[in-house]
Amino acid sequence: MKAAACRFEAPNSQHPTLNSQLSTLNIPMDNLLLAAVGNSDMWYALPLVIAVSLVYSATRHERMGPILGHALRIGVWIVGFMAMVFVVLLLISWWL
Amino acid sequence: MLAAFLAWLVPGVGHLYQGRLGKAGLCFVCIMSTFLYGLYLGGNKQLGWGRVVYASWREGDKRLPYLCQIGMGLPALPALVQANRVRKGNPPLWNGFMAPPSQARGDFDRSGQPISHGGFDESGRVTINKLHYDMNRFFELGTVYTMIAGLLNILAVYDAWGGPVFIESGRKDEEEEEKAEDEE
Repeated sequence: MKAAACRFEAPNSQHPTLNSQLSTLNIPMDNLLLAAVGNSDMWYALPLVIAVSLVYSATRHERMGPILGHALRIGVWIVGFMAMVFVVLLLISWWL
Repeated sequence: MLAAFLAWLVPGVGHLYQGRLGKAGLCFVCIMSTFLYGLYLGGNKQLGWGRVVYASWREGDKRLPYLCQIGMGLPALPALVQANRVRKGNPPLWNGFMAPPSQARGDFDRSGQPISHGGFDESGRVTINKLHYDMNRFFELGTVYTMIAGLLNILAVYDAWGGPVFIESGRKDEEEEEKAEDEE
């Protein structure tokens, strides 16, 4: 997973050649963001979401059934919250 | 109280002591795997594993994440042993596992030979600059994973100490289920 994540590097000021190539190709930034989701550091959040939701739910229930059900709801809630923050940051990045 | 201490010492052992086997397994697997994956991300063969967990309170390197990582208990305690050894001037053990890095410029190679930007100090200890340069964002990722594992274990310790924090409606449901099972 380490090696896979190393392959994608976001364009920045340290890669002027890459930036000029991207602007020449006229690739919208949104598409780059979506492409980055498939092969990016965002996947490192997934094990954390699973572990946090399971352990948090385990402190709320005693039986395995309710724990797993609550963990699913909490996991969806965490991912949804992170998605909302992602959208807010994306909108802010358009204005800046 | 003993259960809480055991839960801090090794994730899940407090619940095991109480006979809550399912939760013991869940806590052990979730928390230990998060911590171990963090150690894997924050190290490599050349620099040593587990470099993201170390205890340091030196000027310029006050390692606040360790306050969260110590929540893991025994798995994070080798960092205290290594910090104590380094403070006394002894070389770290276990290829630098959980040892505090040097704050020197790093103009030496691993064997102590002078070389510009070698990344090691005179005694062959890796410098903090080289750790960040070589591991890049994985140093931060490993730190975050191990910190979260420590914080999750604090939740597990609380659960072992005080039992589950029931949500009001959920408690009724679970009590009814238990009554139904007892009647059967």
